[in-house]
Amino acid sequence: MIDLKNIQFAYDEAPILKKLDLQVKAGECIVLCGKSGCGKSTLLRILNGLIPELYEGDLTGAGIVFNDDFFQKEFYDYVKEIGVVFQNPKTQFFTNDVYSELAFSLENYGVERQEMLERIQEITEQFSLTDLLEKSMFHLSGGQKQLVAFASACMLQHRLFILDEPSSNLDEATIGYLRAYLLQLKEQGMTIILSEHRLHYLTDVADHYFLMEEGMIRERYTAKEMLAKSSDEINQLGLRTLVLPTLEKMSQPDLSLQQEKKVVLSCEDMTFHYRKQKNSLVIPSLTLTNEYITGIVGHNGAGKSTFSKVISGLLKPKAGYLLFNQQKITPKQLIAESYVVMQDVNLQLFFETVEKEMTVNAKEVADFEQVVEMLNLSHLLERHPQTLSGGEKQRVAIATALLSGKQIIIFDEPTSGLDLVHMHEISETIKWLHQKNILVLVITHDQEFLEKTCHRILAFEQGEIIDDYFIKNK
Amino acid sequence: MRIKFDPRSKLCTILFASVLLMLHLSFPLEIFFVTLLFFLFLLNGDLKKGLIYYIIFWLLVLGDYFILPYVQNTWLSLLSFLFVGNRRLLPTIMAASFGMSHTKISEWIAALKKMGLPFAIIIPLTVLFRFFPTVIQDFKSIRSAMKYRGIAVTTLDLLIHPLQTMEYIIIPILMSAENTSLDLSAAALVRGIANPGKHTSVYEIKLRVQDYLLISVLIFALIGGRWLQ
Repeated sequence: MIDLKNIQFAYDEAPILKKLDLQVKAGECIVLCGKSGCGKSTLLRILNGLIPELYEGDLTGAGIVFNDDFFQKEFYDYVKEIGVVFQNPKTQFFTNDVYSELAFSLENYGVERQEMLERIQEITEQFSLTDLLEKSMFHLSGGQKQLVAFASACMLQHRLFILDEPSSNLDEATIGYLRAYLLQLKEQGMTIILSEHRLHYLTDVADHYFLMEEGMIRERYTAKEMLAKSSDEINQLGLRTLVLPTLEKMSQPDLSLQQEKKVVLSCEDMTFHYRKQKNSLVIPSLTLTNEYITGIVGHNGAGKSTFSKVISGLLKPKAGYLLFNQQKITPKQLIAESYVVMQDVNLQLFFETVEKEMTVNAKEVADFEQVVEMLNLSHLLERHPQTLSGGEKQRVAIATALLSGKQIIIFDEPTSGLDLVHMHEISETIKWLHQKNILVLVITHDQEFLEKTCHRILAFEQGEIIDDYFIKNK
Repeated sequence: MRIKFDPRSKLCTILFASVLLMLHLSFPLEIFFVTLLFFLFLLNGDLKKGLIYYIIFWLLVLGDYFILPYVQNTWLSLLSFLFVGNRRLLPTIMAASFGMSHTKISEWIAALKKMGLPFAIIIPLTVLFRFFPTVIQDFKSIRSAMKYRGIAVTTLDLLIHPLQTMEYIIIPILMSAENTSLDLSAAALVRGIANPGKHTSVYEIKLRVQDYLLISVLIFALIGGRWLQ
């Protein structure tokens, strides 16, 4: 189905793909894996035609896809044959409601209305989306958006599916749906190519794993060869686990001696709800301390973000109160003590150099050198924060929080879309913050990361804490 | 039971309301039009909304009626001016509110396509409708981020230092707008928006009896109103 040879590509000077060959047979499922920046996404953009249609650069090579010369293709004819799912649920829908989103590609290719209605019916049933059909896209959770994006990529009868890290913003339950969808496509004989860091849900979907490195495919493994590897071998390849870890519960560990200074945040009978809605958060009693790194888990839309906004003082609780080191604290005072590292970290960097970003409103200027060194920012001080990579931006945001003397730092999905190395990096940074007596909370779906980083887990469901336990740290 | 109107006849209603605002049409015609709008709200299934507008209209009329004899008084004449001004604006607001309710943005787009508007206008319009909610969401996130950084914590600070506000908000907004626009283009392109062939619509855009009725009533009202003057 796909036979491409000698693919080379560069956005500017530095080549991204170097003499890459790719052969895929019809009906196969190929997983592209490898470190961030290895060229996976670029290869997928070439395969879905957005390079050179949307992203410009220098592309050369030869080969055929669907029996046609790939380099002579007409873009709009070509994309009719492929279904595409991107990484970010927020920006991959084009219309405002689910119904028209599903119809969008059919409309563009002039499918008759009657046929369209039948197809929408068929797909909504196949993907169990009936309840969402009349909703506005803006009212869906990230996971629901991603499922709709997947369904709308299946509306036309495609032969090839191309997915770029489709799971990176999803909770485990939604990943389960994604996996089921992929299996359905496979049963229908579709060819699937996807890039992914989180590999554990693909073990019974993938036929081949292509390991990419520096713009080339370094190794090709069959599913069997891949599964035979030990977890150490997988880690050595720079890949994330194939087997989802189960969190091992344990009794409360005694870490209190390590902390020179205690930070305690507790809340009593606290509730919160948005205007004209029922209570979206109900917390009878909870105490958080800096002795433990606390992970916050739960489905998309379970109230984790609302919780983080209330306990960082951004939202005012409707009832109950918060205590900071046993003293009652108002939201306004609390916000001065806390900081949230947002998922879209772009939105919280304001200044023209990293150094200025870190020093404006800084209270703990004396710590500057130490923070810069520990977060490995010394070579970046003169750079514009918006030109940095995702991980670097995260570190700059953490540095600003530390230097403004924050005692509570909350991370919102810090590992979405991160490879093994970067996941370890952020895990180490969080542990270092813990040693520096910061009260750290981490909202995450990423179990591998939880197991490596957190001591205590709070599980949310429908705005309530349904479980609170300690886990064995590995 | 709700009677659905075609976006095009809704558009006619809004146009009629604007004409009513620009050309001075007679007071009876105004009452007639507002009453018509009230019934349109009823048919549309928005009894409560329609009733509120309708009551406001009559309160404004009555208020003006009682004050009119005392217009020599400066303050009361100002009040009368407010009453009349708001009354004259009300039909336009009502028509717009009627037009926007129960019609999805996708249906408006489909209607515009049906009216033969060129693609060069329709696509930017679609993007605009899609883009604004995203930018508003980003704006909210940036506001939270500013609060955590201790920059312009209250809304008052935002207003007192407009230049500083612009600086802090604009850089992140532009960055995210650029990413959003690229991602949106990608999402639209891979699903065939650039296909030069015929495009269809999932919404049935068809004028029904109620639409013909509404449009003819509006036209007669317009002509009749001018003629009576």
